[in-house]
Amino acid sequence: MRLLPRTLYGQLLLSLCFGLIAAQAAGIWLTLNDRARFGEGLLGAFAAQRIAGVITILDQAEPSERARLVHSLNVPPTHVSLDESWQPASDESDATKSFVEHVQHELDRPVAIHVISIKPAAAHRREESPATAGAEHAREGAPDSSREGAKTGSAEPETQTAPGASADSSAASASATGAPAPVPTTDAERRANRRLHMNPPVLFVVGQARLTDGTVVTFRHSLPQPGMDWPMKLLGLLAILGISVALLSGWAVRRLTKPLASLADAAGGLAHNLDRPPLPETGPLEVSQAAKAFNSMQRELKRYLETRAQALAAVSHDLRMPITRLRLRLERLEEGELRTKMDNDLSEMDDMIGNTLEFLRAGSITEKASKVDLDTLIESVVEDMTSVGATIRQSGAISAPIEARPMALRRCLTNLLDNARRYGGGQIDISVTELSDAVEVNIEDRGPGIPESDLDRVFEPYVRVETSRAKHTGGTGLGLAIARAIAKSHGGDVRLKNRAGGGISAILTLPIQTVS
Amino acid sequence: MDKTLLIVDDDTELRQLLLEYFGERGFNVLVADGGSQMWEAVRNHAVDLVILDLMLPGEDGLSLCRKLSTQSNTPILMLTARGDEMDRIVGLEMGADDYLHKPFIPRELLARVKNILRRTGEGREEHHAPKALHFAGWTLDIDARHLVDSAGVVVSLPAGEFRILKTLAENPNRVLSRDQLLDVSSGREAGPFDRTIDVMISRLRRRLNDDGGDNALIKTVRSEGYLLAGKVERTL
Repeated sequence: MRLLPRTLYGQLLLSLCFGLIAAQAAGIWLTLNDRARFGEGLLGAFAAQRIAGVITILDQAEPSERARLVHSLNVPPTHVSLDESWQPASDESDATKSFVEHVQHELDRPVAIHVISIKPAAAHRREESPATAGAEHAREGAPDSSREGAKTGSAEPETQTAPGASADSSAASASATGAPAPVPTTDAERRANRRLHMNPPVLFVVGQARLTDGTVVTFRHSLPQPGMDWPMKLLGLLAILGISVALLSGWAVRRLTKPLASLADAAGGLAHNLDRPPLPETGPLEVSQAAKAFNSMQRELKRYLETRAQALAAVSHDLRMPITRLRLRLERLEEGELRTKMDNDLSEMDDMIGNTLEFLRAGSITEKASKVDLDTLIESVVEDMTSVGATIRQSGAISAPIEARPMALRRCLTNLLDNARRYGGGQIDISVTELSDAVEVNIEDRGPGIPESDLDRVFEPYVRVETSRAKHTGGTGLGLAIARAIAKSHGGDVRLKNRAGGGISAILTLPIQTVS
Repeated sequence: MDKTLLIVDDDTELRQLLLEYFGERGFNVLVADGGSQMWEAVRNHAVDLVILDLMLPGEDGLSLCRKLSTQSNTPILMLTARGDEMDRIVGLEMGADDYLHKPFIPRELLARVKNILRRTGEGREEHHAPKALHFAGWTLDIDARHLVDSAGVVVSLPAGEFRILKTLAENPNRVLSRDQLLDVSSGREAGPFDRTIDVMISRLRRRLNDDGGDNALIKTVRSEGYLLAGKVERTL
């Protein structure tokens, strides 16, 4: 299972290539097989003709002349002998019968013919060792090379009987082992075969005919393997086929799966950016339909969120008029504690509205990014916070300006410092560190900290840990949500963690280069 | 001589409250609930300043603002909803001289009104509130409340320092006393500052790479105050 590719691309490519190549291989095999059978048929017909010719000549010849004739008819691939006795046929297969019919058909006069065996010599040849070949060479130049038919089998005398041996033992041996006596083949012939790229004989036909005068003619005919020239050409063809199939299907499958990959990207990116450009609705029908569905889902989601945001914005908006009026009404009151408190309440309401609207807008900030000197920005925020009573120690500096939206970033840092001031109490440390591809601003307070389980929850809008305390210290519950939204719009993030010595550490990371 | 204000807002109660507020502070106040009443008032009275709400039924404030600013020189203060940044920017482009978010603090509205009237009273051609001030290679972005150096790098300013620098740059080559500067430096957000003006000036100089010497951008005028020397250009 592990070996199978996990991507759709890999799986499709693999099955396509595998399927196509398997189909091609099967096709080629079938063709070759067909051709081989056709070749066999041709060779068989040739063998039948030849044997029929030999029998006819011997039948018509004077018995005294036959020995001489046999000598001259003994031309490979047919070996003829007259000195073997009639043997029972051991092979009754269809191939044998059709071969006999073929020979009969070629004869002028009917002659009794039977085939002792038609056997593939593959098993026999496989056992032929180099040592045998050496032995053959040693015997080269023997006076009657044509009579040395048994020499190919000389390594295994127990399965092989020389044609020149006693007819009885030869026949008994041949029929007992089922291995036909091979047709004698000279070395010269073998060399010629090799030169002509002919395959060594694979089929031996051993048969006998009883001539009209009763003489028994034994013939051994070797059928060469019909041209199964698989080799290089075919393998080359298969290789070319394989490569082109792999390339073509690779291209086609890539084309098919690419929209899927971008769909996955789009779905993954949707969580971060609902305003991402719609997917191109192109490609095959199924893919373009998926893209269409995705785009409409994105539109619907966006519309839904916009509707909710609009409702919230409208409420916040509408609250401004009464607040404005209240402020004007307050101007009519005498200066005093009551008026100051009411003023503060109004300011708090104003802040809540402002923060809510700011939070709703944080995702779609229109401010342009520019190069920002982060050091002076932090310094300014620290200065502003100090003027409202915070104790802040600043350390660290970075070498170069970063790419950011200065007003948004200032709001983000202000919110984080404000949070540290409200909940921390005591001194706040702010430090900036330059990493290889990001800047990290660390804001540490000395407050009681937050339970680990709430560390991420406090970033949700309007969530406060320990409501009673939060009320006491003020705040709208949006500060951290806005800070994180701004950080994320810069491609960064804000994380909180409890410090070992107590208190919270808020870590703002900003990538040095990219601003989305 | 009392100045005449025209308040254009569709909220009856707010109109009434503003009328009382400015009336008690020595202004002649006219009110209008929309475009037609506004035009009528402008035709029949010498109006020194129009306070125009952006959200009006019928013809909206932006459109009225554009028409009014092409027809007359009367300065306009737009009241916008806070957060509607687009409205604010568009409002200024449509010819408003200043803007204020709702819900505003009455004293701040009063200060803005006085500011505009002072600018127009001095006979300055452009009485629009500038978007940016340029001096000695620096740009002071009024909306964003930060400095931009000649290389385009944003250099942030604490609120108090921003206000001091803005005041100095709005009145170039004019000596401003420490008291004047202290007045502007303490805004609502910042509250009263512990730091003296001198400390803030020295920090400003450091940010501006200003050595305070003979060629200083911010010059110290002994026993009088400070001034910003050189030419200041305004982007409206």
